[in-house]
Amino acid sequence: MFRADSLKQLKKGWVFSMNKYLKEFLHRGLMFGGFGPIVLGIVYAVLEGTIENFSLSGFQILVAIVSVYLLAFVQAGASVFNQIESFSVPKSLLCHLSLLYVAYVSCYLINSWIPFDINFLLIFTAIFLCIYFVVWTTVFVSLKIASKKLNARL
Amino acid sequence: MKFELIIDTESEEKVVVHAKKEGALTEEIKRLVQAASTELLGYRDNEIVRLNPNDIHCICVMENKIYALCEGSRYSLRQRLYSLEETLPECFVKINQSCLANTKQMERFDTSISGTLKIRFKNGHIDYVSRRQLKAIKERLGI
Repeated sequence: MFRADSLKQLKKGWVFSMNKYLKEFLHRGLMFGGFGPIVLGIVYAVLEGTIENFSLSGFQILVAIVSVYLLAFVQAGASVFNQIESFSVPKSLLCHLSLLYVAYVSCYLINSWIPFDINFLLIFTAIFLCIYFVVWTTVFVSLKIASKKLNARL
Repeated sequence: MKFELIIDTESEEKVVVHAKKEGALTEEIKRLVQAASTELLGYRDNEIVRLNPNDIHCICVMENKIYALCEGSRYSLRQRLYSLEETLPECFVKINQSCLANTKQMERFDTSISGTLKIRFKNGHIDYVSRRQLKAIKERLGI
């Protein structure tokens, strides 16, 4: 009886914390998702100014706006993985990396920005991993410096 | 600096410091006075405890309730986090949207490999620092 109650409590606590993170994911996604189409608009404006006869159909623009919005939504929300206490560091990193990778690959393929070809996908994956590593290193080093300065003041 | 204590049961209680300039001592006196005038009521099981803010390591939202985490014990609070943020002494700083931390009870800052900054308190509790609050924390710690 006690064991059943404890399990029920544990399950309730886990569901509660997962709901908290899901809410946080949606909250961050909604807050920053709108930046995706803005960046897309800037890129299209630059392309229009630099490429002759650059044109897109209404449907292509619609697909691009919706997919880039979803990409920005996922990218903003995915940072919540770093805060799930029950996740180990490798697990949270892996979840963050895989979710971003799936979101980026889907977005690029849907918009035909890269062809559905294994060679292109491999090149895309290599570039994606390099950029992810550079961004991660930059964030990590800047936080390391900040924590060193903060610790000196404690 | 001289110290003078005047016992007067009729007048309003207040601490006045005459100093050439602000320093560590005036800051400490200010902190102690602020803490003494903002005592909180903590609830645990059937007991109600008067909590001195200096003894609180952090105040966090857990399972939709506000808790004050002290050395080895936690007490439920009845106030809202935003009202506590306004009334608590200056040594309390918001570290994320659901936690107020006492800078005097912080043990160290750690960088996790996942790219987040975490605070370890003297009672062993660990909480993360949101990037939005990092600037405020730096300012509070004089960086």
